[in-house]
Amino acid sequence: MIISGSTAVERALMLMPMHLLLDTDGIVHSCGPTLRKLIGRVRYVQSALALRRVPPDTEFMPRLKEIAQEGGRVFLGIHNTRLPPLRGEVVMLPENYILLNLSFGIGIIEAISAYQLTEADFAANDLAIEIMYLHESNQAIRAELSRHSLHLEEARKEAELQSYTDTLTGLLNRRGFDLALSRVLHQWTLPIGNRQEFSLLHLDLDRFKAVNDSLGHAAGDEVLCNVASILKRETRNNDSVARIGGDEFMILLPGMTSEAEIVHIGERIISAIEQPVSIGEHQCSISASIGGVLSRHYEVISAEQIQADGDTALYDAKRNGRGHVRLHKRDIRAHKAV
Amino acid sequence: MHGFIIRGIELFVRTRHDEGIWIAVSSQAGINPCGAMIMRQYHENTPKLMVQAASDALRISREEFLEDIGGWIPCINSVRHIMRFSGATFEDFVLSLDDLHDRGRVVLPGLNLPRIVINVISPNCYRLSISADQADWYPVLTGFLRGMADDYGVLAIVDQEESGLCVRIADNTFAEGRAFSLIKQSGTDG
Repeated sequence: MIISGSTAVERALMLMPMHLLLDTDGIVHSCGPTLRKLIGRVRYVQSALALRRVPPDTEFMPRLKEIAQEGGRVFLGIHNTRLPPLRGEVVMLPENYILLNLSFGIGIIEAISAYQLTEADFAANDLAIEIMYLHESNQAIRAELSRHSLHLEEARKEAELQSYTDTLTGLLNRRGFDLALSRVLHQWTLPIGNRQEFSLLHLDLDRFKAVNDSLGHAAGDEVLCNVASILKRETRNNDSVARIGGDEFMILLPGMTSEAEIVHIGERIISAIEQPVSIGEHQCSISASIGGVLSRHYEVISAEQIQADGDTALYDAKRNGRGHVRLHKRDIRAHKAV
Repeated sequence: MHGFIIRGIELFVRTRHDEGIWIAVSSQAGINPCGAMIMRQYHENTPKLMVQAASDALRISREEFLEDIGGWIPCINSVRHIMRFSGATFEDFVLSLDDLHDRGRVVLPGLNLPRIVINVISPNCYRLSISADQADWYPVLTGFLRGMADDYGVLAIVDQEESGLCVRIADNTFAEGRAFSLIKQSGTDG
């Protein structure tokens, strides 16, 4: 220490583990032990630290002296680290010595782990360790809350999925179908250009009751599952297939506008369902009837109306000898044009 | 994307606009309409979907919507309080924004607030820049800085330029700023 009669200064510096004592050339005359862990032994302060929050061409030592005289704060970035700037105060001491007393700011948490600092590296009146306690406990609680809410979110999704699913076949249930229908109806009500047409098939099994009555409910369930897998196989991924009652199914086909194609899909489904299935030593032979409706035949659609029309078409199909596809012929647009 | 950001956009939509807009935003971004969860990560694309859906529904541009969010932030009393704590003057506040990224990270790991680099161009003139992948923060920051300038009672001109945001403090006796004390008054938090 070169300041004359410096015992008092020397003692004061012991209270500051992150101090720097500089002369006006920027030569380091004393460096606190904690700061030394960060910047090592340097002769010139500029080789370890850079002024921050100042115009780019600011000269280091003249500015530091100005700050010392004005009594402002100083922000110093450490070369070659991503730590946020150190911050502190600067004062002029006798004989033109400049004293900086620095601290970490928000970089404290990173610095503690990067430089393996402990309680002993901080002044007794520094709240660093208290910050660490708060930080660690905050992170622990946050992690727990995060885990908990993830758990709740998964449970919610699972419950939602279940509430829309038919547990026997894995198809949509009535609620799931209503939701899917409301979605395609929404797409249909968009302005022309964005509007998407759709078709609806209403399918009812023929001779299913006979299987149930003669072979029991377990056999009936097996037949239903077999039908479900046929429907999944014969439709596209974005079609919605639902079992809405005992042996009643609904299929929503977004974007489908071709009558011929609907009849073709329906006939393929029926012929697949008509393939005999062996259950135990019995052969089950059932069939299905399908009623179809196309959204493009409507000017206004309600969920009730289109389902009622699907039902009517299905009834037509059944009356015409079962095992057939019938389309609902209600061309309102054509009708209006007449 | 951190749930904190998602929830922030949600709160803005629900307090400044109406539930109808929120229903559109949540359904198009695939968020639970009951509300986003602050403690989970969402898909990186979620905020973009939300902003697109909201600006479509409100018939304004994405930039306008983002700027409105930024302007709304200083109206949240707890945020305003902590922001005012960062600087005694508007200049100090602007300069302290280089700590924002690290402060956010300490509070919520994974909360990737933009890393803002501040260049002092001349007295009362600053340039704020953010990395290109976070450029959507520029309009947010513009609204936010204008709102905070009002709060300090400072007339600041904030312009988006090619190299970043330019903040010029025109007159720092523009108006009486809102009173600020480090002692939080009870009942003022919202």
